[in-house]
Amino acid sequence: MNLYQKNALGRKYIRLVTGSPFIYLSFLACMLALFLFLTISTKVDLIKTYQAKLVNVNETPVLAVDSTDFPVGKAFLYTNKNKNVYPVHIQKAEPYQDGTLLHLDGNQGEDILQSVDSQNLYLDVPQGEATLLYFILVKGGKGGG
Amino acid sequence: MDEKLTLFGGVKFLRKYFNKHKRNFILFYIGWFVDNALTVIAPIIFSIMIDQIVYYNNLNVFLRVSLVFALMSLFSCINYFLIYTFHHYLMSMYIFDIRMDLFNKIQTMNAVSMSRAKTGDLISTLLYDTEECMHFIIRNIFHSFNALLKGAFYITYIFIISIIAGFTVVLFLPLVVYITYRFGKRIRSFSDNQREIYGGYASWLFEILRGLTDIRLLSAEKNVRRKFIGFQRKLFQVDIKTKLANLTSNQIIEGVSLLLQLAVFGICAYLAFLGEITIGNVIVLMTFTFALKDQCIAYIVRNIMEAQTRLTRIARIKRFMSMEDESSWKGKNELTVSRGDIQFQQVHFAYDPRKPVLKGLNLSIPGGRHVAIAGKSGCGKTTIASLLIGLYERHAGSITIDGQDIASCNLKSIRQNVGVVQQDILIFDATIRENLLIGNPKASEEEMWDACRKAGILTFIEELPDQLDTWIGNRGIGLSGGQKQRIAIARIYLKNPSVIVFDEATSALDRETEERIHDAWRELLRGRTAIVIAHRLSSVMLCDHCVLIEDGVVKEEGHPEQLLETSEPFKKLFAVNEVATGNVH
Repeated sequence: MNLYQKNALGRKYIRLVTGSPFIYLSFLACMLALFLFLTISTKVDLIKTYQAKLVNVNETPVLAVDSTDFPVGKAFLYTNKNKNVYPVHIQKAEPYQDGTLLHLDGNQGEDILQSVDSQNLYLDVPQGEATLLYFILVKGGKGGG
Repeated sequence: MDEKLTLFGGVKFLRKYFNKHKRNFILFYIGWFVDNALTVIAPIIFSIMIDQIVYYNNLNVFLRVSLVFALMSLFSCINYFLIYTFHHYLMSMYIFDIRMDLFNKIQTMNAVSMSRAKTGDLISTLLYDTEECMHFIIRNIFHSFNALLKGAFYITYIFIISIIAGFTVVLFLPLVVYITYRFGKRIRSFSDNQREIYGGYASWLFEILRGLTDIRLLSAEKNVRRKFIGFQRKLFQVDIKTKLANLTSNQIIEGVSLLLQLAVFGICAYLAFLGEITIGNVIVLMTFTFALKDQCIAYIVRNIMEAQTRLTRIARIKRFMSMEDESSWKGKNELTVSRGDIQFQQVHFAYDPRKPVLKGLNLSIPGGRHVAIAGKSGCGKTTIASLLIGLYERHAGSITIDGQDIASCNLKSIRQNVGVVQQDILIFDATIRENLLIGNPKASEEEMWDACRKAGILTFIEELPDQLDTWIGNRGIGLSGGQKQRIAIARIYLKNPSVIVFDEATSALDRETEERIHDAWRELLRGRTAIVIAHRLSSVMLCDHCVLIEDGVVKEEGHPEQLLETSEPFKKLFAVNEVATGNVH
């Protein structure tokens, strides 16, 4: 029984959408494929947070972390993440007591270290990448960088 | 009182309609599921975007995630449009199927069920209750299930982001479930009561509106008004109770949800202060907690409350559907009538087992004879006609037409061979043509004009500007009692049955009109068997035989003129009747 006999356009549209599951399922499949493609191809840095301390070595302020295995490269330094986050570049990491001493790149690092007003610092260090899909489904958006 | 229907009972009852559109229902559900999944994912994507730009200044990832977000929003819009296409389609078709079944049921209801059913109840069930079936399936089943799933997702993600926030949410849930259960039961009982009163009120109102003139003539306006106020008062009271229970439960749940929200907001603030969660995480936590409260808890609670009301309505439909109908009539044979001999042998029948109406009635009507059945009110005259056309099944004895027991014949063939003209003629709001064709949709134009001529209504129709296409009934021209009788006679000509029953057909007409109608009858009755259930002597005198019924059996019978001379009960009956109807000469 067709209740849409009066409106030819409406009837065609209704018949198109409800007459066969193909159109709607195709739409869903296309959109799902596009969504998966975009979320899988988008890579987001996996961030690991380290607690760091400011120490003076040869009258130069450097960072000391407890971890012995610390990668050099891009990092984000802060005392309170919701106030200021400084992007820094760790140029050199050398063993120090039970941890590692981190030397920041050039004068920029020294300026930042001199401007931070706390001894207790945090370093967010990108360690590998994960897909956006992984961040959404598994981590609920937490721990990306 | 309606049968209490459980949630599963409701689903079970509506399943057959669901199955008819299963594919579209499944697609509709998939659509909603996808839409809900997008609703859950959106805040997470948004939080990633914020964290990327606020903390790490990562414009590249921010833009790529933004693209995903924009695409998702577009996808969601199109999906929503398509879902609503399914929704409206299913809504129309699903309701149509239920209404059609219900209408078929009403049409085939047996006379006992018909006499028990209240017209107002039937109308409100057919118009309003049927809509609630679809709302029940979509809102109370699909959406509630989705809301549950969504709730589970929200809680899982809240746990992923912060275990303390997760535990806080979980602690509040049993409290909400308990409150919902307690109030759900109360609301259901109020709602049942409300439906019961409303059903009675609608039926009463229907009768009152039909009998407005009688009420004025009886000067009963005051009594009717008092009863109207009584109904309003009852409805008002139960409405207040239902709304109060609804409001109380909603507000308590709202309060609990607010506490939950405050607790989670406090935890968010504390964790953000410690630096354990990011701004993005705070946004997700707050959004999820708010959505959990609004889209899940409050939504499910509201749906459970509404489900109670809807179940009451579905129970009413189920009750109507389970009423006895004419499918219990066992006869399958085709009734073929040639002469039109009718025999009632030892027929017993009672509407109420304690008050038998027919007590072993024996009546023999040879084919082609015109028999008047007379007797006091309630003696069983109309019952004889009702049994002959299969409106009721006799309890004992047999009724045969041309030697075929009507109990072994199907109702369609019985009603094709036995035509009935009643006092109240059903005239539809339609053209004269449509009103005539109801007796025989295949009748030709020529047959229609011929039937009108024989029924004595030809001149009247010919004088109308649109003739057979003239609109009659409430929205068209009004017909007099005599004209309606002639329409009924024309219908009988088109149907052309071998046996005709006139059930007090002219008792409401004036003498002059009655005489003219009787002329039409004489023409119609030629060559057919006729039973005339008569209140007036003039109708009896049209017949060549008269049967006087008293106390459920044939008291006397003979030619009307002979009875008029010899039978005291006959003379007494018509003397009384003619005085009562003002037809004494």
